[in-house]
Amino acid sequence: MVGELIFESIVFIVSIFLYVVSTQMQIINPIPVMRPNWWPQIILIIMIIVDIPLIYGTAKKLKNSPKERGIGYAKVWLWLIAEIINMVIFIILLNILGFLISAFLFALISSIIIDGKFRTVHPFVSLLVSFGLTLFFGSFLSLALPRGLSIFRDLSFWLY
Amino acid sequence: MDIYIAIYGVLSDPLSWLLIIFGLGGGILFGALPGISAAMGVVLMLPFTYKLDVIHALILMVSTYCGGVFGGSIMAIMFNIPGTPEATPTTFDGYQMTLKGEAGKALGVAITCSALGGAFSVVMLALISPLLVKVALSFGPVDYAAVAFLGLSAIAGLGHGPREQLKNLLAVTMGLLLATVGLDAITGIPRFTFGSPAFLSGIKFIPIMIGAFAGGEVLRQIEERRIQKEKKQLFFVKGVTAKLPSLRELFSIKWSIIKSAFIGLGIGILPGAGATIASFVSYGVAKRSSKQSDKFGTGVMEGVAAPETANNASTGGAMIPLLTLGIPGSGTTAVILGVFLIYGIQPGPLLFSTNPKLVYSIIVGMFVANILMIFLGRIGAKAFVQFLRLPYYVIGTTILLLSAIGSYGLNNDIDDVWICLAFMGIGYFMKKYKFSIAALVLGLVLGKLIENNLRRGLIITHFSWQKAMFHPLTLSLIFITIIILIWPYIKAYGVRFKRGAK
Repeated sequence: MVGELIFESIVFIVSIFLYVVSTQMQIINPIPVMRPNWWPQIILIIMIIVDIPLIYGTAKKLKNSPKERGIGYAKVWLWLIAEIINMVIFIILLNILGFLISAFLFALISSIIIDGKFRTVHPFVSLLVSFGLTLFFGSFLSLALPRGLSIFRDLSFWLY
Repeated sequence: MDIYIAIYGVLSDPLSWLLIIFGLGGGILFGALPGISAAMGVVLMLPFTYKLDVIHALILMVSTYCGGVFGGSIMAIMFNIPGTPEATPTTFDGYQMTLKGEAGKALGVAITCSALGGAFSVVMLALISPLLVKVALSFGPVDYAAVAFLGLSAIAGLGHGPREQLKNLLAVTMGLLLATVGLDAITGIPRFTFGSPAFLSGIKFIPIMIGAFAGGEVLRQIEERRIQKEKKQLFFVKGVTAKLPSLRELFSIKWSIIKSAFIGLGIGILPGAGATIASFVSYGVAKRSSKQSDKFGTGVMEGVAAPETANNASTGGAMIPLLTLGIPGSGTTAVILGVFLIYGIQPGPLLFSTNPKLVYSIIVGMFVANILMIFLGRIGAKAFVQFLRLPYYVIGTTILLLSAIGSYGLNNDIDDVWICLAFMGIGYFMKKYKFSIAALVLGLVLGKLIENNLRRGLIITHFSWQKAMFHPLTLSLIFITIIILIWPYIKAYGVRFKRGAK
């Protein structure tokens, strides 16, 4: 419930921030409908109005409810953050190592994160998934997958 | 004449057959896997469309949609776990039939009724759409905006109670706001681009859809699995083959099938409502009107037939507003609209005169997919059950890689993968805290249409709201929209009032 309150509060703060940004937009025509910020401001006002009772409701619930999940839940968060970091590294590596190798590394780490432990089958499955997807999309469907730099780029032409 | 050309074009084209089989099979598989909705299945098929022409791409999409809506029933019948939300009522009697040793029969009824419901709705789509197009051609810009508002309010109003409705409304506005990023269509002034040229043309919604629908779900699954310390795999059933019901059996439940087909079609047409509501309503109607209503929930064929007919009948219904007005009524049809827009085609009444071959090819493709469902569902049920034994790390990793390919492949741009990742996180939180992702996507897809039509309408009437709004059609649409939005509050007030009186 704390997370929900944080999420709703972030939406609220972002809405106010964007409303302030919208007031600084260049205005050529003074008629409201012709202003570029007319429509975004209507949406942002609705967002703010809708978000207030949501935040209030969550805060009220939070006050009345017993404390939830302790240290155990923090571990779950670590797994999720690990998966997101894995995805970030994968995207960075796409332009360096190319799709196949990045996908293999990503699939391997992702399998371990999802499964919660390392199994000997993970590397084989990761290789199969990354190789299969590369061949299907890169070779069969001729989709331009990232090739990476220097040697990785040259090697990628052998496959897709 | 156009429909005959389309029928010949689709039926004589081997690639179309291949794509229908692939889409249908993929859809059934995605639908069968818990946590993958029909919308997510269609999203995951997006990368397969990038190298296809528009007709083939859309045939693949609609086949996946049909398969995805049916696929949920496999898990519902075999394991009492609805693969998709719309298969929930199927568990009531489907699983009871499995416990009685009639799993094959339950699957057979589900396959046949899904195919019948789907095929019926496609025929109705072909018959109703040209009539609706004539009405839609008389729509002014403000009417279009009002119809789109109606769609958004309907999806926002779907929540259970005022709080959930507010959450859906917030999700819709988030989508509408995202649609405002980029150059303003009327003044050409950049909005919320923060100086980045990448955002001048607006935020691309395909990576957002992929990230929010698919990526968010994988993160959610990782979390659930960690909390529950890995549930035991349930998927060990062997040797189940779907047994199609005999004509006599089908005839004995004919009224349930007919009623459910109409309910599914009607609810499917309504924006915001969809397969899930259709299947629940039809189950309720079938139960109330059946001679053996007391046996519902103990494993009767009608209990499987009604929801399965209705949820597949809603697919054709949901395509009607998309094809005739260009306004999707659900998350899945919003993704399909995305495919239209990738090819620079705006569905709507004009599409029927400018590109009838495309429209009728989609309709024919959907019809063939529904008919093939009988064969593929029967042959494939056994194989699909085997697929369900795959550990989630294989499925989750494949989904994430498909998401990356789908985002990147659209424009060969790594920035799109970053957007996908960002919306993976947002989608995760939205799912976790019960904000509707379908509402966000609909807001995003309809945002520009609403804004541009509303402003255009006001410019035409010299900025007079009175002149723009005071038409019977516009006023009726606005009235319905307001009713939908305030209905949960009226209902909540009514309940409180009754309690007070007691």
